[in-house]
Amino acid sequence: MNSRERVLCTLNHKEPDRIPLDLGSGHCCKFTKYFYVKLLDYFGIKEDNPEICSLPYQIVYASDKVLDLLQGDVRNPRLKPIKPANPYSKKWEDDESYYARNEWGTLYRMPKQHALYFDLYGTVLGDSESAEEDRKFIWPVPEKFAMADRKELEDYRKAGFATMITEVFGNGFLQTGPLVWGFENWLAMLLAEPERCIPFMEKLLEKKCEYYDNLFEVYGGLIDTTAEPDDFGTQRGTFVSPKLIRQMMLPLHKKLNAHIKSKQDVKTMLHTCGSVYDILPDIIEAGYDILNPVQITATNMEPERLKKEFGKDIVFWGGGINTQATLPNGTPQQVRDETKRLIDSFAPGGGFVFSTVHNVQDDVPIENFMAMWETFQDNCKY
Amino acid sequence: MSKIQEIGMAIEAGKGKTVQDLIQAAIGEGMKPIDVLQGMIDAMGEVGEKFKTGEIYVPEMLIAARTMKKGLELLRPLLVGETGATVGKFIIGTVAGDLHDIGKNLVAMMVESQGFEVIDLGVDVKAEKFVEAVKANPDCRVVGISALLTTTMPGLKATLSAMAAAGVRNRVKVMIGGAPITQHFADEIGADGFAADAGTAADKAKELNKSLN
Repeated sequence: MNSRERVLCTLNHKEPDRIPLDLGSGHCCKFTKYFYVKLLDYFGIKEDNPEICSLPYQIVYASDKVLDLLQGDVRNPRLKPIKPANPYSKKWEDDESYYARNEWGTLYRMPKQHALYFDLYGTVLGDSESAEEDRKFIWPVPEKFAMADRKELEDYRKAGFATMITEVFGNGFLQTGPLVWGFENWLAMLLAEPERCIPFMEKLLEKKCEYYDNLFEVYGGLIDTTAEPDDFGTQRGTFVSPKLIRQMMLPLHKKLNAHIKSKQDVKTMLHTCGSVYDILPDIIEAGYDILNPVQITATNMEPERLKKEFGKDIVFWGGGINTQATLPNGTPQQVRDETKRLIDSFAPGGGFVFSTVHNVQDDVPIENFMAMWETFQDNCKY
Repeated sequence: MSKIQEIGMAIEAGKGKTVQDLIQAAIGEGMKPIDVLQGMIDAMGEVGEKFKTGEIYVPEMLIAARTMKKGLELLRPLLVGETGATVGKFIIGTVAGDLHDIGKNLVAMMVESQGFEVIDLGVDVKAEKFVEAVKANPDCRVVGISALLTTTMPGLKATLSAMAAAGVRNRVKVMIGGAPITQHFADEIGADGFAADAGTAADKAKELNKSLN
């Protein structure tokens, strides 16, 4: 069984030869820049300037050499979109910080000293108080791709890897508004002025469909999974009420999934952190095949409960180790015990791709990461 | 229905203009500003309680807190010199290196809604800045510090140490919060309190404030 067959088998809720592994590739299964350097040191590999995959999160595209050493089954191609002209995009710096404004006009800032991430610092419509003012926003144009870049995915397919596209247009239907209006404004608007939010989300759906059309035009037939983010959850429940999510966001997700699946034979993943137990049946109903990163310590997200109630209907991609406590701050023995326990919970019957609950951050000791990896290797056979 | 009840309902529903009109009407009818304030604080207490129990979510709490703020803008000038107009001061900020302020802002709003004067130091607040703020506000009894990232959690302990080294640690109670924070972690680093959400944080601030009275 090659990697792709293994992943597809588990995505179809059957047990492959072993649990598929995604470390360093898939959505929120990646490594931050400084952790990657630790990993390179551990393997005795020298790589200059690892390529940053997401500026805000400072995560990298791990090299094939590292992914091979980890025996990862998934590959995320380094898409090179043709960037349309955009009035907002800009990067600059001053004495204290680096700044970057993305195509949504969202301003990010990273202090030059002791900083690990670019964080949201300002938005274009942060002061807007009406639909009239909202019209000033200039929508980004979905990127196109070049036929010449097909080769990377073709090579992965030939080599037998499962492929995942993690790059998307904007963020989710709940989480793109904050890029334009700011988090608090957007959340208040959803309740008090939905008439300003609904047209925005509907237009986002149109643009997302256009983005996938562009993507499939070039990479058609070479993609196994796509990944849409929309963080609905907090540690203890959903950000906004399940009712509002069901009414306003999930119908759009459902249309997006229908569009994607009408064009390509792919499995679709929803990335949402936090506690989403209350809306998991609705996420499944919206057409998602895979949930990531499966935040097992959030309220009602216990692995046994998820597996028992939803294991037949959705694949758990993640959930392999708690990245908020055990992986960065536990002992190697605690890491081993938790990894084994989570594998035992999620693996039976397939429908499980092992990964960390979110990207591996800089503060993770290499001993803990390797303790997790070794435990996976010792327990991954079906 | 009493005016106070009407004001409370307008706060919960997030109707800023209505709240201001109702406050003006209440004052016009001879109601004491301090009683109006207490009515508003009670209404926000209800909102915090509903958030804690999962009956309402972040947007509902946000619009109520924003409405409370609008009401306070109108009421504050009328409260100058009144005893009991504030329950105390509350210094808040995110820990050094951490720029995530959504949760911190919610806590600040909810604490303010419970009658505190909030001194918001913003994000990425160095330990020395917390120390300076405590020194500059000798009447402040409670400090709140948050961290969203596992990578900035150690900064919480460093801030407590800096406060101890500067001799101001015993003057205030320090409560901490943020996604990766637990009661266990708070105990481990010697913080005085932990709250898992903004509603609980407001209760905790009141409790700690009283404990130093």
